[in-house]
Amino acid sequence: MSASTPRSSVSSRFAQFKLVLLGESAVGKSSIVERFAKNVFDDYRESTIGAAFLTQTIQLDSNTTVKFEIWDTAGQERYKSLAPMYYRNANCAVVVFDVTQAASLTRAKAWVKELQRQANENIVIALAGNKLDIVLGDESKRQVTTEEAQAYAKEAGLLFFETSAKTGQNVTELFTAIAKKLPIESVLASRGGASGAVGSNSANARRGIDLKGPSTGATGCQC
Amino acid sequence: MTNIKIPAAFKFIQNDASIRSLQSPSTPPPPSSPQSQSQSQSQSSTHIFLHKARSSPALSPKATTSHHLQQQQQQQQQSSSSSSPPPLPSAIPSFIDQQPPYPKSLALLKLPQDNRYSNASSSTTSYSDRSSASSSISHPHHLLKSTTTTTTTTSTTSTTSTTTTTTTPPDETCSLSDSLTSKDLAEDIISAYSDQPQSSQQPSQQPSQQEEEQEEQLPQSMPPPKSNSDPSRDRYGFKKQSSYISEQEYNAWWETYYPHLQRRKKKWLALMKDNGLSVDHDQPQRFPPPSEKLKRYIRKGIPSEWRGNAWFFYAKGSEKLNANKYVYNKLCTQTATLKNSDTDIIERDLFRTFPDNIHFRIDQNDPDLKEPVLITTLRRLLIAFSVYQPKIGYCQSLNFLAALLLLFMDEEKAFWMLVIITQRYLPGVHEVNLEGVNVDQGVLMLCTREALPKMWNKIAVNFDGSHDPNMLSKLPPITLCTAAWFMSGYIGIFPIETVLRVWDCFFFEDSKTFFRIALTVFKLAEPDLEPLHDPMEIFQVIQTFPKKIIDPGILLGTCFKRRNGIGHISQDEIKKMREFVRAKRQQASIEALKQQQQQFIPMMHHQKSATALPLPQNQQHDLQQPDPESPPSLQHSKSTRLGPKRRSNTAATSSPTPSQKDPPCNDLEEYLHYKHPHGRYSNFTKRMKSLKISSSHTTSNV
Repeated sequence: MSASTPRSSVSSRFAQFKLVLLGESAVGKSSIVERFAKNVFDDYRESTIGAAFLTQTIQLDSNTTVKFEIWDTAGQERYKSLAPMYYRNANCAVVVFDVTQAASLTRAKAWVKELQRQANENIVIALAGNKLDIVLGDESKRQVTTEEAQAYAKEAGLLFFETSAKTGQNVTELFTAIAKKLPIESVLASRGGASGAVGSNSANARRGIDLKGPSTGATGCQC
Repeated sequence: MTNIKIPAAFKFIQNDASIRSLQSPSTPPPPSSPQSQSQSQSQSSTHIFLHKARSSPALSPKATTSHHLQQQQQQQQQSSSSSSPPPLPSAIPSFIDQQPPYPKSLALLKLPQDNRYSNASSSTTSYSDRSSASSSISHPHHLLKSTTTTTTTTSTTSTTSTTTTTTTPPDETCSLSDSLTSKDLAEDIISAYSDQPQSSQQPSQQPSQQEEEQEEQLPQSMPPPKSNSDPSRDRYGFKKQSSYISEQEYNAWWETYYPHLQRRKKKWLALMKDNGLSVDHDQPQRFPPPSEKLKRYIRKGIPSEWRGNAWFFYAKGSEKLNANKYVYNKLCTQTATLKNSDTDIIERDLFRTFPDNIHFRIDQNDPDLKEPVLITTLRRLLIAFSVYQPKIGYCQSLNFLAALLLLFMDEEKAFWMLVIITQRYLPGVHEVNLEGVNVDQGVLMLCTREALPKMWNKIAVNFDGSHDPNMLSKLPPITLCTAAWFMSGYIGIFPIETVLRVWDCFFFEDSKTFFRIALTVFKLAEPDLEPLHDPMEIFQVIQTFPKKIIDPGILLGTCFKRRNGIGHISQDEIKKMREFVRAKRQQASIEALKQQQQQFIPMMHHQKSATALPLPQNQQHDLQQPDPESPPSLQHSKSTRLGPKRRSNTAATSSPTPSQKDPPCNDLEEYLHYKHPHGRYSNFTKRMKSLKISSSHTTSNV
């Protein structure tokens, strides 16, 4: 477990959220998580079977800490039947596609649709176009333009980033943007404003979410 | 100049007689420089060849094909080793310094083949001793495939001269003759694919040994070479170090484990002798019949160099293979150019299969960055499988099963083993809907409830810490973790030596092994889980705990201890539980379908959408028209997913171990009733109840 311990910080506000990663096989879901949680990257990672679970904490500001419980999922279509178990009670989701594979965006759209239909109605969804490093090195390999993905994200009300798990570009930004959009205030309020800690209270953070509604204003691409 | 045996299906010449069991010839050779390829092979394998001073009769044609080339490679390698760092001796893993205390001569004489997998090899002297003792150096299939692919001669004469009549089993010749292609075609093929002259040197043969193995009518099962040159890698080419185990820890453990392996090998040799079974060339094809003693031996580990053959034997692989002769070759030919969604995913997974293993990764020192032979083989095997088993197609995790098999047996055997695993051992587990694995997770939850009720209270809970009354249809989140255990046969879950020991038992004792191992993990993790209450933290422990079990003895010792506290589930009980869980899940899914239809009917009514799901005729009349505004099923599903019911259940989270000993669980009660219709508990359950759960672990090797 690589997450930093929230107790070590001086932050007085702590909230914990469940995040699920979805997307087609081999688009880089696990690599994004590894980069975010451990700041490492392997050119070849073993395919994820079933699910992997990690946690990572980020410091939003001097006194606000957000802990992500990250569910990394297998990408193959047939694992989809297990997906509801992941996104059940998820507060946020990162739907990943590969900017060098047009079909992966189609799959990502299907995931977004499913999340919007089946998951927590207030779920914060971010769209991540991964493998940015490849197209930065050779633009001809790009199959999904930034504009196209951004337009879709705006229309569907998603956060959108183009990321590179390999270089780390925009990975932290992605998670920070999600954290900023999460209803930390209402979580804290539902707990009575007490400073949270890992353990028994964490479940409260998972439960006591009351979002105002699906996010509508997508933030711009930051790349 | 002789009979060249070329099945018509083959698009290019495999100039070795064991072509029958091998690769899809229609796959063109990788576009790489033959020279660099062979050189690189020699780099990765020469040490092993030198080790294996044995001749494998049925393989000898293969060996002879490139015998001369190999000799050249060896010479090159030896000379380059001596002139360029690291020299040969230094290429021997560091821990061979920590040799077991038996005399080296004994090891060489008594266990001549032992070092295919044993890192604890020997000195430079023994290298040369062995190589000189060898008249024909055995040549692992996988290497050969590549070698023959790239070194096929332009001269038909020299090619054909490498294949002799005596090297092909007699009835094999007959069978193959049906599909022989013409010499002209062969020449065309050769000229199309060959780009390097080849040795025409006639090998020396060992006819008597050949005859013996020809009787088996089995393709040769030869693992690929194991790279011993890298001290940071184990005997199979995996990195010793993982995120959870350091190289130092590995080496320290190996120092204690290696003598165990040596002891076991001696015991196995004695057992084989007692059963009158030959261990010629250290590649026995037959193994003792089932007995209590054999079970004990297998649980303590099959000698690694015998594993491929032993797994194949106890899984009754030869029955399958003999009933399907040439099927695999045909499949390979048919699927050589296949492109579909399965092949697409297979392609993406190839380099994500054992990326840390030297045999599955591109050699970065190779200027052409050519594809490793085992990757090519794996692709062919998985694609052939996806066509052969359309109910499964390709399922992520099969790549790991196939890849591990390929480290221990030849391609065709590995293919049939994969078929056997998915058909007989783990039925339905990899099928498109993954129902088989879900069923098995339900079974595992039932087993856990019966054997480790305390642990069940901790792990079989939802995110809010509550038990779902419909545990079998709505599996608890922990099964997301344990499903991978079953699908990938614990590969990547345990360190590799531990996986292999589990697989030894698995092929001999059937799938109950996987359940018992899972229970053992829960039991071993109990002390770690004791202080935890957050389901997420518990999940994380269960996820990472197995990765630290480097000593197989701890796992298997606990699992098979006479009074192990987790019971001794029989395969019959597993079968019965599978039936029950499957039925229960089917029932639940039918009910869920009905509920969905109740939701759809009003939608269809309103939208008159042509694209809406059609309802099965036979079920429509059963459905009542629900209130379109508030379908009861929708209300229900909302409330279970995020509704107030769960949210209000906060108390359970802070103390997920409920105060009552037997929390209500409808599925469970139903199962107990199913299992004990007369209210009687089986011996299994009685044992469960009477046994005291001990938290002490064995640290010895079983």
